[in-house]
Amino acid sequence: MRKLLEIADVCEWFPQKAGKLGAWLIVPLIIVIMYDITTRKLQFIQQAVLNSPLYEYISPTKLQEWEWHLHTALFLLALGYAYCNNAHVRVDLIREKCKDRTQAWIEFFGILLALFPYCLVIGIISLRFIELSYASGEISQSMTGLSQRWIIKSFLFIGLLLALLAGFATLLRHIVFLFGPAHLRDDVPMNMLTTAESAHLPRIEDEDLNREDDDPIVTSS
Amino acid sequence: MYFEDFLPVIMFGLLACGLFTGFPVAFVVGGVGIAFGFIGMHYDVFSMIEFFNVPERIWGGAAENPVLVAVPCFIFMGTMLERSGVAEDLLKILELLLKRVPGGLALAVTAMGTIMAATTGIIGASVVMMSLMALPAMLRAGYQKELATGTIAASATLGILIPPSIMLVIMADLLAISVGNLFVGAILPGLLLSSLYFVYIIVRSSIQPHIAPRIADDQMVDNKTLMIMVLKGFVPPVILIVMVLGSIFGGIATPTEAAGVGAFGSLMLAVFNGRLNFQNMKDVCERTALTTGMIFFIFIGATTFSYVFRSLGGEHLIIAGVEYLGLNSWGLLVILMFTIFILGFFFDFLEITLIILPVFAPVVEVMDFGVHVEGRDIIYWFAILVAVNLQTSFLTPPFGFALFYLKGVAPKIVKMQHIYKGIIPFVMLQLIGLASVMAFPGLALYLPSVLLS
Repeated sequence: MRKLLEIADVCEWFPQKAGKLGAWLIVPLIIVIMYDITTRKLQFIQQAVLNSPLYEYISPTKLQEWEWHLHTALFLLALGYAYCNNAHVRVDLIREKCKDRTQAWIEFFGILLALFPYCLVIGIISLRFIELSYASGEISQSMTGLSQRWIIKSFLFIGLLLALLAGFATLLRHIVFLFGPAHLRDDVPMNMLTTAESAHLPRIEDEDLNREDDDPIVTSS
Repeated sequence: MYFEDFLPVIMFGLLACGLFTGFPVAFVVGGVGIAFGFIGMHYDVFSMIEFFNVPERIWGGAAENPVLVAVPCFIFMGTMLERSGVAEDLLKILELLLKRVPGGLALAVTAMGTIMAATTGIIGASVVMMSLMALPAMLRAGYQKELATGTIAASATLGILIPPSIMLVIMADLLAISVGNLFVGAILPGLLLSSLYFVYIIVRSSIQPHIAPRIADDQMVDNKTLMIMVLKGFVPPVILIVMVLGSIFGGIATPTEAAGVGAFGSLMLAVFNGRLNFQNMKDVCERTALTTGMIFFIFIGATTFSYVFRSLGGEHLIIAGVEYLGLNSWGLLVILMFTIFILGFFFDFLEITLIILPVFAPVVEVMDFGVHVEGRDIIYWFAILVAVNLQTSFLTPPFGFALFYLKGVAPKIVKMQHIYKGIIPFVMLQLIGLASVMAFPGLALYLPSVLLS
C-alpha cells in the first residue's frame, strides 16, 4: 500500500512539473504580442523592421501564429497541473456536506467513470489527428505562416496524457485511503477533500478587527 | 417516437446529476459526452467516426483561435495587479479620496469594483480578494455588517459585466460575435449598475449616518501626501485600464492585443512599485496557468458534450420543444432568462456560458422582436442581458454563491443573516438594471452603433 503512494508521487511529478514550467509560457506570449504591436502600429519602427533582413523570419503572420501556439501549449500543459492542485471548478453544494469517506468515493468513481474514459478516448483519437497532420505535412494556411503544425497538435495528446497521469495519481491515493490500513490513512495527501480546501482558504479572524489600522500606504508613499 | 430520440434529454439529466456530485465540472461534462457517444453507437444514432471530429472541434474552438489568447493575458493582468498590491493601494486611495462623502468607504469599494473589474476571471476569486481587502477596514470603521457585505458582494461581481470581462470574451467567441462590440455594449449597463449602487449607498448613509461612520480625523492625510499617493497609486492603474479598453474601443487594437498590452502594463506597474521579484512572478504565472487550465478543460469537455448532444439530435429536440410551447419571442426570452437565473444559483458563469449557451443559441437565433431590437443586434442585447442576469443570480439568497464565498472569508461575527439582509437592496437594484436593459435596448446598443459604425 505504501508502494502505491510512492507510485502516485512519481505519477504526479510529471503534470506538476509540466504545468509549472508551462506556466512561464505566458512571458514569451506577452513579449510576442508586444513586439508584434510595436512593429506594426508604430510607423517608424515598422519601416525599420520592414527593411531589415529579420522581417522574413518574424513576419506579423508568423508572430500572430506564435501567439496562439504559446497559448495552446500553455493551457494544454496546465490541464493535469490544475487537477493536481484541485483548481478545477466543482459544484460543491452537496459534496461539502458529505463525510470525507463519501467524498473519497465520489472522487474514486468520478476518476474511473469520467476522467479516465474521457482522457483515454480523446487522447487516443488525438493521436490519429496528429498523425494525419504529420503525414500530410500540414502547414499554416497563410503563405508566410508557421510550418510543422503537428508539433503543436501533439500537445493535445501530451496535455490529455498529463491529465490522465494526474487522475491516476489521485486514484491511487484514494485507493489507499479507502481500502488501505487505518494507520496509512493519515499519510495520504487528500487535497481534494473539502476539509483540506477550507484549511488553506484565507480567512479574516475576529481578532484582526480589533487591531489598529496599520495603514501601509502612508508608509509606502 | 423511439427511445433513442430522447437520448439528449437523458444526457442532460445525467449531466445535471453528475455535476451535483461535486466531481470537477470539466471531467463530468466530457465524460458524459463520451458515454453518450457510446450509448448512441449502441442505438445506431452515433458512429465511432464522429468521435474523430471532436479533436478537430477542440482545435478550431479552443486552440487555433486568436480571440481566446486574450483569456490568459487578462487573467495574468488581474492576478498581477492583485499580487503586486496595486489593487490594494488603489482601494486605500479611493477610501481617502471619498472620505468626506457619506458612506465613503462603501463607495470606494464600488468604485474599485468598477475600475478593477478585470480581476481574476472567476467570481469566487474576485469575491474572496475584495472581501480580504475591504471587509476588515469597513468593519473596523464601524460600518453596519449588512451594508459592508452587500457592497462587497455586489461590487466584486460587477467584473463579469464590466469589460475587460473574461466571460464576455468567451461569450462573444461562442456566439460568433465581435468581442470589441460586446465590450462597448457592456459599458453603459455596467455603469448604470454601479451608479445605482452609488446612489443607494449615498442616500442610505445620509439617512442613517450611524451605519456608515466617517473615517476618524486622526487617519486623515495632508493634501500633499494625498496628491503623491494619487499620482503613484491611482493614476497609473487607471491609465492602464483606460488604455486597454480605449485601444479596443478606438479600433486601434484587437482584444487580444489589448490584453497583451494590459498584461505587460500590469508587469510594469509591479516593477514601478518595486514589488516584482522572482517569487511573485512565479506565483502569478502559476496562478494564471491554473486558472487557464481550468477554464480550457471545461472548454474541451463542453465541446465534446455539445458535439455529441447535437449529433444525437438535441438541438432539434430543443427547437421542437420550443415550438410546442408556442410562445412568442418575449415569452421565450423570459423563459431563457429565468432558466439562466436559476442555473446561476448552482453554477459559475463558465459552466453556463460554455455548456448552456451553445444549446440555447439556436433558440436565440429564431427570436424576433420587431422594431424593439432588430436583426443582428438581438444577439448582443441577449448576451448583455445574460451577463446582468447572471450577476443578479450570483447575489440572490439563499443560494447565490458569491454570498457563500463571502461568508467563507468573513470573520465569525458576520453571520449569514447579515449577508442575506445586506444583499437584498442590491438585488433590487440589479433587477432594476436588468429591466432597464430589457425595456431600453439602447443602453446596450447605442454606444456600439456610435463608436464602431
